[in-house]
Amino acid sequence: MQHKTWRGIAATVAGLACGVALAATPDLGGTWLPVEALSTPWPEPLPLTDAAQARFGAFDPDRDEPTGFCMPLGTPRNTLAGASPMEVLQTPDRVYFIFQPNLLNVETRRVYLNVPAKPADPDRLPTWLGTSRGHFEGDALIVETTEMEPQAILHGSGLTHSGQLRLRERWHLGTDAKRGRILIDDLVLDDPASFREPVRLRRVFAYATDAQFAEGQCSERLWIDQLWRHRLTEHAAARKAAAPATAGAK
Amino acid sequence: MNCRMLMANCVAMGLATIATATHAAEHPAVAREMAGVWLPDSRRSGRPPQEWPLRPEALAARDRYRAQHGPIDPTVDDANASCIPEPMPYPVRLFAQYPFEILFTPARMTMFFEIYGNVRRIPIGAARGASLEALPTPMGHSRGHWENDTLVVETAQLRREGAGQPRGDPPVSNARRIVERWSMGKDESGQKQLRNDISIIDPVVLTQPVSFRMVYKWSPDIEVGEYLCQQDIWDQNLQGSPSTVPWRQ
Repeated sequence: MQHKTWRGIAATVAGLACGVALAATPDLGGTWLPVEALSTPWPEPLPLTDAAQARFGAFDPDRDEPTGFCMPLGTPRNTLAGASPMEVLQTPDRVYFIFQPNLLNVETRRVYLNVPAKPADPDRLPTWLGTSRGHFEGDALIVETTEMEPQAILHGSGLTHSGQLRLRERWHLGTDAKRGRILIDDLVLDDPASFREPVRLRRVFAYATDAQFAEGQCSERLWIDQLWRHRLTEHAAARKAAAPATAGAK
Repeated sequence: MNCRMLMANCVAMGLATIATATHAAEHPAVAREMAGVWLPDSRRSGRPPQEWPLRPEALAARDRYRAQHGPIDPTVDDANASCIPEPMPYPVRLFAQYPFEILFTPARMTMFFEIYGNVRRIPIGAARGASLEALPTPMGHSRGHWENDTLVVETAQLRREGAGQPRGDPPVSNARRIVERWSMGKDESGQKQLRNDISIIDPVVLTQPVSFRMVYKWSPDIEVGEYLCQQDIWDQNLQGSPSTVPWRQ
């Protein structure tokens, strides 16, 4: 009887502990809009290494801006840019951050929760969205992202990383007097080959339950361009073919 | 009960509670079976008909179009070649081995397609519908509801451009609707499979609905990867061949 009582107490304690643990796991899900006024600007001056400064100086927006070619913003620019609403979907083992910039393609960051880091694989190519792992620490989602494609620039001004960038993020909920529920992302960009010291930034998003996503497609303009060029070529050819007959009539 | 067991029980209870909140409260248990990554099973899937049942008006319109603009040149006329995603049901009727992922959250099914990296949002139940001002899009605007263990999804407001005409598919009218019936089954070896009975309904173009079944293989070891349709153009640019960038010629 006494044994059962102790087991009952233990179960109750376990239940309470679980309740506390569950209550501590925040629900980040929903649609969020970036709030520039609550976010931090890039540090001025940027703590660039000589190599990064050289890359920055050589940046040619016509040639080196990936979005000009309908390539993704990539991570972390998709999170930093404040260019689109963001949808967060949360499950017990993953958190999805979906960015849908107007006139650009969808970018989905998947954060795998509570998985061990994979050993470095030299054959694994970096990706534009990177590889993200995360876990909850109290009220915050801690995310670490690596293996990011260095062609994905960090900012439209031409700021780049070396390919060795390690991104650490702390996502947590807050409240703003004007905007109500907000989602805060404290980012640390660690790339010794590019930054003499880690760059710390904050991005803030306001809860926007009524926001709807437009279904943009960046290559739309390419398609329209191509059709028009083809039709114009046809038109020019038709005019050229008609020209001798007209001249002969004169 | 030692501390480790307590923690394990706690985690298990926690996951069960979150999973319950994610699935059972809003979706039947079969949703848990549907969630995950799937690949088209081209061998077991059906095909749309070679000859679509076109109404006389649609046939005449097609013939007029071909006479005026033919012959069709896929290098110019195929929107795919310009990285324009074909509208629904293209991403769910592919036979090429592009995976997609299904995710259930309260009142929603979300599909992540590797091809074009598209996301399809399907509100389920009494959720808000598409805005009247919403323009037609490749994914269209979908609404779903459960009929026992079958998820019925109806999609409208589909964009017409890039709907596979170079391959001979019929045109798409504003009245086109797609009804999908998603259900679970098993193949001959007992492996679970996802089934999608697709009906394309377009009374302006078709004399009767076109129906076929797609089957998908459970693929838990596959990740939905990045799809960069414009990679070739970007690479050509980086290699110093900007003249090959079509819109800069």
